[in-house]
Amino acid sequence: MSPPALENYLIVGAILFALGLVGFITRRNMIILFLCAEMMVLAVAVNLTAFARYHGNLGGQVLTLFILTVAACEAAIALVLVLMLYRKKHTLDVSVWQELREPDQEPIEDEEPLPPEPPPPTWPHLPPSGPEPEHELEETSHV
Amino acid sequence: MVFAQQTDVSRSAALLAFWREYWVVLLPTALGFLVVYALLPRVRQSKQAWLTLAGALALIAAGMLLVHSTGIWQETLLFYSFSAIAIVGGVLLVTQSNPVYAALSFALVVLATCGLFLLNGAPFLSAATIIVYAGAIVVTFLFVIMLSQQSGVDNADLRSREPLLATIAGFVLLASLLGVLHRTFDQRELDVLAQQLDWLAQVRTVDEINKRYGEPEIGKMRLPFTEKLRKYFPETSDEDKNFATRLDHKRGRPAELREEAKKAHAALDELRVAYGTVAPHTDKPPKLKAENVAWLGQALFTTYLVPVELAAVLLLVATIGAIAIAGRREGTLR
Repeated sequence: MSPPALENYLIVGAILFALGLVGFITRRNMIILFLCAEMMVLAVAVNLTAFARYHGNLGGQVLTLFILTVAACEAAIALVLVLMLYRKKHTLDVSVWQELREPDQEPIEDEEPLPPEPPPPTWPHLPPSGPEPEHELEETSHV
Repeated sequence: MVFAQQTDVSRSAALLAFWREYWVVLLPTALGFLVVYALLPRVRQSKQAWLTLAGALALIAAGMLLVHSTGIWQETLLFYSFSAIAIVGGVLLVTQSNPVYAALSFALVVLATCGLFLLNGAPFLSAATIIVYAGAIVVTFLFVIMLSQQSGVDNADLRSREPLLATIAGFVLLASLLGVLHRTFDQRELDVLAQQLDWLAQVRTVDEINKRYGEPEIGKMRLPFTEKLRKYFPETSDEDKNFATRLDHKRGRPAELREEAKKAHAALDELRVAYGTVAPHTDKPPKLKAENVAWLGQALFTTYLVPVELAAVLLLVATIGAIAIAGRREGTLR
């Protein structure tokens, strides 16, 4: 009988927020952590615009605009921090920063070994440009 | 202590009632939990078809929670498409082990969210979000390519930290949020009951009642909707509060029935307020102004002038901070 109401937008916002939270807690790549935090911010923005429409009042949209500003600042600072942390340890894994934990906590160690690296791809050999090199008999076929 | 004997029975009955009330919320949450938990990156992982199936089921179940309109409006259709895209993109963002794909699915989430902004009458915000986040995503891509591709197979991408506990934490939060929303906003039954009571409050003759609800069977004088009313007003020792029974008894006497219906309606209105609506219940919801950009600009530079200045300062500080942190070299202190 009616187009989607306030509660429907709030439900979508809640789902996106919870997904972002799960990702933020459990992922270990710092760039993905940053993206998950941004997704949580977006979920809140959806809620705010829905309220703005529900109340017929632009306050929610203005607040979303400020959230956007803060998100831009956050992106700048977060990416710089990621860069600095990467320079120190040469990995994006947050778990290498476990030394910052409380003194009485046990460190978490990964038991299962990583799968072996895939072999490097074999690229076709291209002949250098210029005059054609002299062929030897064994080298007649290039794959 | 008096209730000691009946605790078992009443507890299971309470659990059953709880399930009946909230299964709409609990089912999609549980399915979503399974999907996200099974998809989170691990060193040894088998992704199977049942995961896709469970994910589709969870989406449909969540859609059932969202559906409360009959008939399809364009807006309804667009809303469902955008929210489905956003949720699927969110799940992919959380579960992708390759950060490049994760950034791509984040782009999907942003675009779908901008669609939701448009549906909410915020075209300026929609455009601004796309512009800001497009920049953010491009920079993120740059970072991914610069930092992540050098290291090859990495702990950061192939492992999750405490996936079970984290997923439980997130989905318990989600279930409680959805439960509160369900409880707060699901008033469809109350609306139907209020309509019936409205009609009864104006009924004149017994014939009208019989015409609407059918001839009463012998020895069974119940009105068809009182069973539902009994759910909201359970039988108590206070005779005046047993609206359902009183309405049933007065079926043959329209004048008294009208009085009872008015009383029950008043009680229902009280209950509705107690259930907690967010806005006063008015017939005409307020409308957002057209010319979104113009009015938004006016609001920004009149009512919200000081916050705008503060935001400007914040941006400046963030820029200086980013440059200061990034420009520092090892061993130098500036």
